[in-house]
Order: sequence, then C-alpha cells, then structure tokens
Amino acid sequence: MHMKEFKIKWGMVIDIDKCTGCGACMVGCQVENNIAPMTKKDPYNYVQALTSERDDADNKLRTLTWMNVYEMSNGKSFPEHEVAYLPRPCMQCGNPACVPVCPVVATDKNEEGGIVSQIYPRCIGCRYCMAACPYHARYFNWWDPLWPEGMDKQLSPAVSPRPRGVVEKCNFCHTRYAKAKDQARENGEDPMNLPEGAYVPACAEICPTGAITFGDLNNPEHKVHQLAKSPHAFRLLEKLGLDPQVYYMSKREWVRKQGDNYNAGDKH
Amino acid sequence: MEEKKSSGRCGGVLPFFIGFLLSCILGWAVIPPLFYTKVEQPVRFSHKVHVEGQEMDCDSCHFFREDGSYAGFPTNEQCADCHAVDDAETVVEAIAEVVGDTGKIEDILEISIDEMPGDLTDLVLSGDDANVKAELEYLVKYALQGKEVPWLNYQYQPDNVYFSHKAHQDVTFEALAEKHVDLDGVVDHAVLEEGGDYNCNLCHLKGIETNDTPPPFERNILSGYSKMTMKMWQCERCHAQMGQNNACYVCHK
Amino acid sequence: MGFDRRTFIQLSVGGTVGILFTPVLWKALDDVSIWTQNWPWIPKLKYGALVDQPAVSKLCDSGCAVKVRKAAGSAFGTEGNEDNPLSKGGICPICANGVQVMRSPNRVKGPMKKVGDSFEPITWEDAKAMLADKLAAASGKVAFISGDQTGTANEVFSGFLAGLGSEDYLQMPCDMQAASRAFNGVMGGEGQVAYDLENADFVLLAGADAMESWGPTVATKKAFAASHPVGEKASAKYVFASPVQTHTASVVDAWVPVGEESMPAFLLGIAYHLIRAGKTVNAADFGAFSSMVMDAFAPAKVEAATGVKGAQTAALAKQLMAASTPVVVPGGTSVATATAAFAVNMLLGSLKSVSEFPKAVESGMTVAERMSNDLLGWVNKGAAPAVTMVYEANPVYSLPDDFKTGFLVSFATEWNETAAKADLVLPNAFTYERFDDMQNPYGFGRQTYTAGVPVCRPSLDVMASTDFILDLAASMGIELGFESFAEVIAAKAEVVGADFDEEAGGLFEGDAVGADVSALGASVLARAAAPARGAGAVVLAPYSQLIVGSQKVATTPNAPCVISNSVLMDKTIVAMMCGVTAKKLGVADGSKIKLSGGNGEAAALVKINEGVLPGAVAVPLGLGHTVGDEFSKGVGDNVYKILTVRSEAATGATVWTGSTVNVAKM
Repeated sequence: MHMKEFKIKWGMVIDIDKCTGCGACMVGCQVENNIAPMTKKDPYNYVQALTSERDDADNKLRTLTWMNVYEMSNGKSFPEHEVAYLPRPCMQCGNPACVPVCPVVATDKNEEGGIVSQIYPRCIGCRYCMAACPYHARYFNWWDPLWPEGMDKQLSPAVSPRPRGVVEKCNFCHTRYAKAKDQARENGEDPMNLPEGAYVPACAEICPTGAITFGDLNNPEHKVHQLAKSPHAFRLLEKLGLDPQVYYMSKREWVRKQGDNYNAGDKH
Repeated sequence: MEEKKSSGRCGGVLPFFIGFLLSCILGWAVIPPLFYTKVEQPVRFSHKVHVEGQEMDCDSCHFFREDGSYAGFPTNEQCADCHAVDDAETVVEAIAEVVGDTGKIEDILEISIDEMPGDLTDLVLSGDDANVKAELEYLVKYALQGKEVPWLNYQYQPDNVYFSHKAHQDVTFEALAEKHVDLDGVVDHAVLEEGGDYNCNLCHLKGIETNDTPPPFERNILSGYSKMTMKMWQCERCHAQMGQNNACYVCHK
Repeated sequence: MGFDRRTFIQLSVGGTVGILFTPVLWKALDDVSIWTQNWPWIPKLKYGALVDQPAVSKLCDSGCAVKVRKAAGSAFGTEGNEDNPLSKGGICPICANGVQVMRSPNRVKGPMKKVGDSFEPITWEDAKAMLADKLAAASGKVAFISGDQTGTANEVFSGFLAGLGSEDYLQMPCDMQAASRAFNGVMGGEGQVAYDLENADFVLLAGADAMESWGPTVATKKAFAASHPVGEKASAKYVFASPVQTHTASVVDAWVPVGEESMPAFLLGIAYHLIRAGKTVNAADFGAFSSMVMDAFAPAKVEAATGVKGAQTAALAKQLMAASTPVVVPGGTSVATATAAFAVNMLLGSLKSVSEFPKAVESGMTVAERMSNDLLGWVNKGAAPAVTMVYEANPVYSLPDDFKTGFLVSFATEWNETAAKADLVLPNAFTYERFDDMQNPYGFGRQTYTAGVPVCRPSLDVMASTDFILDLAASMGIELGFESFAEVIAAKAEVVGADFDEEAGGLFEGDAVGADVSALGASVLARAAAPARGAGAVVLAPYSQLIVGSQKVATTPNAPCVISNSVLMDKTIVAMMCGVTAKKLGVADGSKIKLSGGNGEAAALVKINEGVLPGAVAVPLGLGHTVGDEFSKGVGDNVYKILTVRSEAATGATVWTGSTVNVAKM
C-alpha cells in the first residue's frame, strides 16, 4: 500500500513506566478540545419526557475520550502482581486504517507533520472509520455537546465544538501546531523546523510525571527521534503494519508483550 | 387537424421561453439580494476620521500580537489610548442623575447634547455633530459599561476554520503576478489590476481604510455568514496556484 | 392563443429549466448545507488575545501552582506554572478542571440563611450582623474547622477565634497533621518535616500514596520524573509499602504489601537492622528506643505482625543504608507511623525540616499549633459549641462521625453536605477570584511560599471569607491589624521575603535543614508492636484518587469519564480484593456486596485485583455525595461513613487506621 512520506512526523513516545494513571491528561484534553462533560439532563429539551435520556459518563461506550488511559495487569497472583497504565491518544498512523474507508474524505493524512485530520462539517457519521481503527481512538458524538449552565461562557478557542452525529478523535492538539508556526513566523524562524517544545499537545504539557515526550520523529534534534529507537520502545499492534506515530516504552517485558496481540504460544 | 396540431406545437415554444426568461431574471437579479439582510455596525466607526484626521496607522488597531496571532478588531483597551475613561463610575452616576434611577444609561443618547452631563460630554473628542453622536454611542454603550464592541466581521469565518494572518502577511501583488495566479472569482479584479501597498485588499473590503460610514454587513439569512465570507474553493484555488498545501488541517480545526 | 393548461405547463417547464440556469438553487442548497453545520444550540467560540495568568489553585489538598488560561479576557482553562517549583508545568487532575468548577452551576450564588428546611438569600450586611449576634451570644463557645492546610487565611481565622475567646481551631484530619503531631509533639522537633525527594537516591514510601493523593502530588511526581529520565538510567529507587497497588505502585521500582495498621511495626523492623548496624541518634531516649526496638521488633516478631518476610525487611534496611540520600515518607493519619518513619530517618541521618515562616497576623496560630488540635477526638468527646464555622472543608461528608453544634456557618464555594446543613452559607470567592497563598505545602523538600492574586472577576455575589472575617472582626472590636486580606498577603510576603506584585503574585524559595529531635518516642512506639484492627471480617483499605475528588472537593465536571471501572461501575463503588480474600468471603468478580462498619454501610461490586493484601478490601474515598451536581451526587457510596474511629493505642491520636468491615452478599 502506498504510504505518504513527510519531512516532519509528529510523534509521541509514552513512557509507561512513568504513567501513574492519574487522569490529568484526560481532563486537560477535554478542556483544550471542548469536550463537554457528559450530562443526563438536557435543560433545552422541553419534551425530554418523550425522548430517551442522554448518556452520562456511566456508559463508557459513549464517552468521548480522545485520550484514554487503560489499566494493564501482568495477570499474576499476589504478591507477584503488577499494574501499569497506558494512555492512548490517536496513533496518527503512517498507514491509517481509517482514512481509505471514509466515503467523503472527511479524514485524511495529507498535511506535513503526518497528523491524521478529521473535518467535522464534512463527516456524515457513517462510522466506517471507527470500525476500521484497531485502537478505538475514534469517537462518535451520540449527543450534542451540552455544558452545564454557564460553563460554556468561554470555551477553548482552539477547537470547534462538534454537533451530534459526527466522528471525532485526537489530533495532537493541532491548533497548537498552527499557533507554534505563527509564533515561529513572528520570531523570524522557520515554521517548518520548530525547536523541541515549541509545539506540545495539552496532554504532554500537563502530565505531572512527564510520561509523554512529544516531538518530530524525523528530527534528530528532538528527543523522540532517539527514544523511538530505544530497545524498550514498541508500538501497539505493530504487526498490523499501520505504522503508528505513537511509540510506547517500558522496561517491563510483560508490558511490551501486551502491546502487541500475541496469542499464547505465538511465535514471533 | 394536422395543421392545427403543428401550429399549436409551434406556438408552444413561446410560453416556454417566457417562463425561461422570467425565472432567469428572477434567479439572477431579483432573488439573490434577498438572501442577504443588511446589518449596520454597532457603532458608526469612521476610518476617515481616525486615519486622515488623526493620522493613525493601520497597525495602531490592526496588529500582530507577540504570539504571532492577529488582533483583528481593536478592544476597549486600545481605544482607551485616546478615548480613555478614567472614572467610569462617576460618569455613570452623572448620567443616572439625568435619566433617573429607573432609566437605562443608554437613554441619555435620546436627549440633546446640551442637556447631557458635563462628565460625559467632556470625554468627547470629535468635532462635528455626526461624529459626536457616534462617539457618544461608543462611550455610553460600551466604554462606560466596560463592554467590548461586537464589531461585525465582513470576512467572518466559522469556528471550524483556522486562518493565519501571519502566514499570509508576505503575499505580494508582485508574487501573484509573477506566478500568473488566476484569481478570477476569488478576489475583486480591480484589486489585482491596481495593486497597492497593502495586500489586505485581496480579501478585505477595498477602500475601507478611508471610509467615513462603514458599509452595512450583509448577513446570509440561511447560514448567517457574511456575504464576503470567502468560500473553501476560493482559498483552495489560491493555495493551489501559489504552490501551497491544500491539506484539510492547513485551514480546519 | 389563450392561456390554457398547455400554456401553463409550458410556462412552468420553461421557468423550471430557466431557474436551473441561475445560481438560486445552488446557492440555496449551499447555504442550507452551511446552515446545518451551525445549529444555534452549538456554542460559538469567542476569540481574543490569549493570556496565561499565574494563580494558586487550592482545590486539591496540597494546592497547585497554576496559570489560568484566558481568551478575550475570559478564563477557559488551567495549566501548570512552569516557573513555580511546586508545579514545574505539571498540574493535578482536580486543578486541571479548575475553571470548569468555577463556572459550575453548583456554585453558591450568594449569601444564604436557612429558614425552616430551605434557604433564603440574605445580604452580606445582614449576614454579618446575624453572625456577629450569634458569636456574641456564644460567649467563646465557638469552633472553627479548616480544611486549608497551607493558607495564611488560617492566621486570620484563628486570630479572630482567639479574639472571641476560643482555642477550638480544628484542622480536618490529614497526613500533615499526623506528621506535625509526631515531629513537633512526640519528638519535640521545631518546624515542619520536609522530604527532599528531589535529591534522594532511595525513597521508601511507607503508606504515602505519593504519586496520587499524598502531599504535593505534582511536585512529588516531578521529583520522581527527574530521577527517572525517559530512556535513561534512573538515579533513584522508589519503594512503595502499602496494602493496595494504588496508582503509585504502577511506577515505583518495587511494591511491598504492608497493611496500614502494620506500618509502624514494619518501619521499626527496619530500624532494628539499622541499630544492629550501629546507627545511632543523638536523642535523650535513644538508649530506651534502641533496647525497645531490639526487644519488640526483632525480625520474627515483625514478620508475624506485618506479614513481610524478614529477609525482605533486612534487604530494605540494607538498601537504605547503602543509599547516600535515603528518605522514608510516612502516609496516613497515624501518628505512630509518622513517628516510626521519622525515627528511621533519624537513624539514617536523613530527617530534614523547614522552619515555619513568621506570622503575618500576630494573634493567629502557628502551623504547629493549629495542627496539634485533634478534630476527631474533639467530636468523640462530644463537644457542642454554640457556633461552628467551616472553611474550605466538608466535615459533614468526610468525618466518619457526626459532629454537634448549635449554629453552623459554612464558607463553601460550592453546595456540599456541610453547606446544605448549615444555618448560614457565606460563599467564599473561588480560588482564582481571591487572594490566597500556600506556605510550605507539607511533603515538599524545601521551604516555599507562593502568593496568588485574583485573576478572575467574580460573576456571583461571593466574597473572600478572609475579607468577610476581617470586616466582622473590626465590627466586633477584635483587632487583627489588617483591613483586607490583600494587605495580609502583602505583609506575609514581606515577612517571608518573597517578591510580591499585585499582578503576578509572589514566590519565595528557601532550603531545608537537618532536623533535630529531642526524643524518638520510645515509650510511645513500644505500644505499636501489635497492629490494632477492628473486629470485622476484613480490613478496610480506603484509597484516594484525585480524579474522584478529595475530602473537600467532589468529582469535577470532566472527571466522570476518566474514573476507571476499577473504582466505579454504573454508580456503584468497586471493592477490590485478591482472589484469596474473595474465596474466603465467598464472593466472585462482579458480586454485589454490602460493606458495613463504623456508622454506616456501603454497596460495592467485587473486583478481583491481585494487587491487594490478602484480608483487605480496597475501596475508593470521595464518592457517595448526597449534595452537589450530577457529576458527584448519588454516585457510589460514602466510604468515610464505614470507617471506624478509635484512639491510637500508642499515641492517643484519634485515627481510623485499622478499620474493618463485615461483608454481606447482596
């Protein structure tokens, strides 16, 4: 399959040995990207008695978590048991499964930087992309975004709010990339050669343990360039060949093993 | 019978053409303007007074911020460089004395200037009556109440569009001419032909910088967008011809 | 030719074809499609200059140094403050949602008084007069409960209380209090214990869930992160001793399963090896301490008491001795655990402390003074003041026992259980809307002082409680020396030596020094050898996660979808236990059970987690609110109510360590 090559390849290296699973990244992501809290009641729906209730956060199948932290266990009994947490943004695959299935080209991987785009007004909500994504990184808006009264007084100006019926996903806080380029232009620097740290997504910035390192995988001056080549680095479901731009690393072998879908007794 | 039939068939062409013509006139000349409703700017801001009269530069109000973003419309803070209201509370109290406790502070605009409190009229910088009226409106409705003016943006773009003024600041008429960029339908021909010192006119209202009364904002009655809102194909055409990327995320958010 | 049906049809066809040659249809279609992209109920964004303003966020117990992100002059988000040592750009999950909490419809919108069973608005003036009357009538039978550990606000309130003739200034139970009572009380130390994690090369977290809910979590995580650089060799080893593999356990280098009630024995088991290796402390009771440890905490006895293998304890002691800058960090409200941990640190020569900053309000209490009062003990003794004021705390929700009072005043920013029960609710300005500060957050390794200024204009009829009390004090003739809290903060910043600026706040950084103690608490610790547990079937191992909330802040709006299925399932809390425990109790994964203990019951779903000590059940604190917004109200059960409060045999402190519950299938 044809893969587009980019001069810049934004990527993450997530150190699982440093993620405590606190959830700050998930909260920061929601605030940055105008993801409304899940509310059951709709004060604007005057015929709610006749319509079905909205879902609240109990229904984890309908929450919008562009960044999602999964809990991992080594499966052993006390006291050998170990626990780890795995934050999962969109993998921004080099060879994305979601893009070719979109009937309306609402999602594409065509911009320098390699971030897989998702254009909400264009999306028709068919959800083929969600079916195609093996990482469950895409989310469908089952409900219109609804902020409790007053909470939408000021939203993040970085991301447009999405209506019901469209698919959305993590885009590495793409507007921060656009802003970093503008800042570089203002400073008389090259917007296509941003220094480390000029563009950082909200989750990486907020993480109290610095578990997420972000940068240009192609740029030797960025930390992720080396980290991605570490012997402890791996990618999720690497053998599917989607070439994710998100790398993980862990010194724990069981964590690395769970990163790919090895079946018991598999030879690899 | 045969004859009648054929003549009937022949005569049938005329009503067809009449209908065709009528709907063409309707569709080209009559209906299109009905798509738009004209809305006046909240304050009659005169570029002429500020640019010619006060010799202000464009970037006194329309400038790039330190982070590379563009401050499109001035805020009260910038206006206060000249139209400073040091003690808004005193002025509001003085107005309240005139309009009474039950009245709104905007009611002061209904009465003649001579009857307005000195605290208010002292703030006015304009000379002639029409300008004084506009300035009073700005002061009473916005500056004194600490509210920002909800300026109407002729080039309004929806929330899903990210436009970087910074990335476009160096687009020159010469570069467009050199690259033989065909902007038919994208920008006003006159702008391309005449060129000029500012590339702003490529997308923004030509001649606005010397305008005395800002033209009304034409709001699409269905979409709410401005008549001048640039459509996606227009952005894309220029991008394509200038050799710029047309990837979705170049402009969308 | 007349106008017949045929002509009409021909005209219509012509018209229809004609319209297709005009832009009308296409334009209308285009506009309609754009219209469908802009439903009126989808909020529109507001644009303007983006500004970050430094502030202190006192939502979480330790407080975060943050920057409030604003667009067009209006706040929309919160980020860490990279210039502050407590944050270094990081932020905790509660404070990350700060602006959303500030804009929550659950805020108390103005002063309220209780009339019958409901509340009625009251003016600030009337509220002040009403409270002044009640306080005057109480003639000194007044108490003040504070959930603020670090603020100079406490000086104002305790000074006011002193002026009223009362000493009942009570802190909500916290780890800081246990540490203070151990260090300043039992051991006779000066100042506040500091844990220099930034420079440590071996850290033993003795029950301190330091990477999740203990101490200044962000600063601790930053220290951990610096010692574990991505892709490089770690420069420090972190060991976590606790009954449950909480979040901290997921990143530390080793986990040692130790019950909370066994922690003093575990620590003194380590002390045994240190003393054997010749470590001494220059303290009056070292001789007694040494022989007590040798006698009561010999390896076999400790193994029996804690379940930790003697070899493992010995190995830990060896590693601590081999380290050049080891630190032992106690967690929990047990004074015995804190004393034992400090004794081990003393043996290692690694106990550090920071001196308290001078007071700004002369008549206010020092930190050590206010930490010495025992709220749970006070409640248990049946105290019943005529007036109780509650600041930045929710004791009605988070104290296991009910407390009695005549007139209850709540300075709540949001509606909570305490506000709902109060006779007078005087909404405090939100942390971004008021002056506030953080002096020496407990758990940090150095002296720090951070002062914050208001960065958001209040949109509700709220008032900084500090300003209200200063005003009230003045009207009651109590001299505190200040007219506004802004002046107090400026004065505090000055005595601390911080640069202070009305726009950006202030910061001061100082050093920690080697701590001196006069005693190791030998007589006290002698009684900690046998872990004290309740009589129930299993030991309760309550844990906190900031994403769920804290003892004073309920689950924030964006948090519910972050809370994992190991904590909460369909509004029922999850009780985690290992397979052995489940078998003993006759329950399986997914069973619904009822936990009963203390003064209440809690329904829970069983989840098998092999990271829980056998015989223990891990349950989340912070759920089960009965007042609040839809994100917290009616979600799960309140675990605080199934805790059993008892007096710690060793120290006399009132604690809930060693609480047990009975389990019944539902």
